[in-house]
Amino acid sequence: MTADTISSDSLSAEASSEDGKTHHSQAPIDAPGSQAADNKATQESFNKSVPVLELDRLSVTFDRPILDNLTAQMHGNCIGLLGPNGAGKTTLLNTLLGFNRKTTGRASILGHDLSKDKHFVRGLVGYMPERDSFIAGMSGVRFVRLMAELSGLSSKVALERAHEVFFYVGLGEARYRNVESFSLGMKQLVKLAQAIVHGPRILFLDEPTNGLDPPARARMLQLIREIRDSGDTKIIIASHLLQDIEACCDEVLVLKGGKVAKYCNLEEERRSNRQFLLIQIRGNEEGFVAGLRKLGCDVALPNRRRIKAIIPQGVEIQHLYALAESLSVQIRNLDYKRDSLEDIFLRAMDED
Amino acid sequence: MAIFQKAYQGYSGPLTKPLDRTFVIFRYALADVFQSRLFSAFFAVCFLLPVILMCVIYVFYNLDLLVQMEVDIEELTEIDGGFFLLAMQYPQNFMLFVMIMVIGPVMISPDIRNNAMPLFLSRPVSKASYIFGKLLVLLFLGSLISWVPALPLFFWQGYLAGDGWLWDNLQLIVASVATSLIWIVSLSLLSFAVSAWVEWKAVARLAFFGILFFSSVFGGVVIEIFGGWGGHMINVYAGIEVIMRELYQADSNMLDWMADMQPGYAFLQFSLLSAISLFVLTRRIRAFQVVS
Repeated sequence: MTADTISSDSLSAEASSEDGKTHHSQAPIDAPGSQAADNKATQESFNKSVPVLELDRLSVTFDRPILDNLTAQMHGNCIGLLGPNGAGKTTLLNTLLGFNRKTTGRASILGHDLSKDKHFVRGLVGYMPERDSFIAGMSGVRFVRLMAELSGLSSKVALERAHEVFFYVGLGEARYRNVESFSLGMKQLVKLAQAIVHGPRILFLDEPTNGLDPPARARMLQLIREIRDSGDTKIIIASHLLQDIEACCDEVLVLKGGKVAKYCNLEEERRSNRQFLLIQIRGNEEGFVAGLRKLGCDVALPNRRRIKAIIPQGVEIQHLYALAESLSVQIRNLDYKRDSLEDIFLRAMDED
Repeated sequence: MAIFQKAYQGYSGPLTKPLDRTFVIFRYALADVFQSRLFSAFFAVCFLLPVILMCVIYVFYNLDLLVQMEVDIEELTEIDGGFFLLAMQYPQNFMLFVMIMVIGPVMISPDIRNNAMPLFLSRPVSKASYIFGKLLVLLFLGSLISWVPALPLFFWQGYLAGDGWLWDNLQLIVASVATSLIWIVSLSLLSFAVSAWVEWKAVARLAFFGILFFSSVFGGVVIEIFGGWGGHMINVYAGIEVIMRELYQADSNMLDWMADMQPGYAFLQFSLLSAISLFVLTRRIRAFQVVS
């Protein structure tokens, strides 16, 4: 076969069984009519602009308020839940998974209200918990196969996808080893494998890069980006690591003390805060600004003698030097800048 | 799709029915149980008793053989409910107890200890179906070594005895099935609850044994001090003895040593035991731990 995707829709190929034997997978089992209809409805809502995550004054209280009146509507392919430790990220994920009971408000995933369709929503979800989670005494492939079957895949399809997903996350050679014997990084990858083996519509990742060394972390982020770019699965990541969120997400909900501190559409931020030049000059400032505008630059003057300019395609730095020379303006400093997620996050943390 | 293809794509194929997920848990748990050779050997040994009893019944009705063995036929007792209770059900109850003590704690405690519950419960699997899936393993194996082999024994006895013996003793079938199921379900739930609480299987086994052992000792002490039958309500063994006698309708003198209590209280005892165990289980089986 030459296709470059893992999919169980094509069911004619071979897969190794748990004990290493090979077998041919057969035609898929018949789905109950109502379930097929649900799948279709979900697919339609998935393709349309139904919010991936919608929170409407959602509150969760244990012995104290943990989530307080959260309201947000998010459509991104990869949504980040960002915040310091104890901000309520994991509680929000647990609530979305139906592990916690909400105190007030409403939450929906892909248009399905959690309080009405909790069981159905769980069928759409893949979840990678933060802590080590596995079933003792099982080989990796058997563990992942069990998880796939629990998600509703037939035994044969589950076995096939369990093998595929092990190769996909890069643990193909270790798939017959007992999960307990895996290193921390491998366990993280197995957790990801069990979360995606059934091809969920939405994937919850709780601190996916916890405890990973730099190469393993890069690999994990690469996998997350690939899953995001496949377009088949929406992702919600809870993390306190800004770099991870920035590397993968297009929308971010910053939480602080159980409240929404900031909503940020990183895609829009990236578009609106395109990389700009911060230019410090001495001389004819008005003339220089006018000259920049003639070149097609968007120009702003945040403070005296500092010019913020977005350079269009085709304009090079030497054009700016030429302009400065023609106006006898000294360019004292010239630097590329961009608002990072860190700037946005720190501002959100500072705001009360 | 071949395993060398390494790009991600979702799954939009058919899904199994929700009820099937319970049987997935059952299937995997059952396979895990038989990974232990010691348990497999024990399980095989459990089938010896019905085979031996089948031979005993055959010899009982074979006068030539009895004469050859120089057995006084007048001294032989009748094969009735009391015989099946003492010779079959009572030893089977002990084997069920051993089986549940060995594999009951293995069912749930490793999942809790290794934080596997979020993996189960984030899928379309409820706590009830998880517990039922695990319970099915013990029900299945327990049935195989208790009432299932008892049935051919009853038919064998009915065939050899003739004269409508089977028809007259149909309640023995109900008694065997009901006693075994009550014993399996209540002990299984207790072992699950203990192992969910303790989390370490060796300690859970010890705790399970300890609860049953001390309940009988404590029940005996209560009877010694206060008299009456109140102590039997604490003693699980006493409860199952009362249920067995009631269901088998056995009133032989050989059963006088068994506990005496109103059968209704014995049923109440097992209902309470199961309800408390279920309550503890549902409290302990959760997808996450609340850190205060």
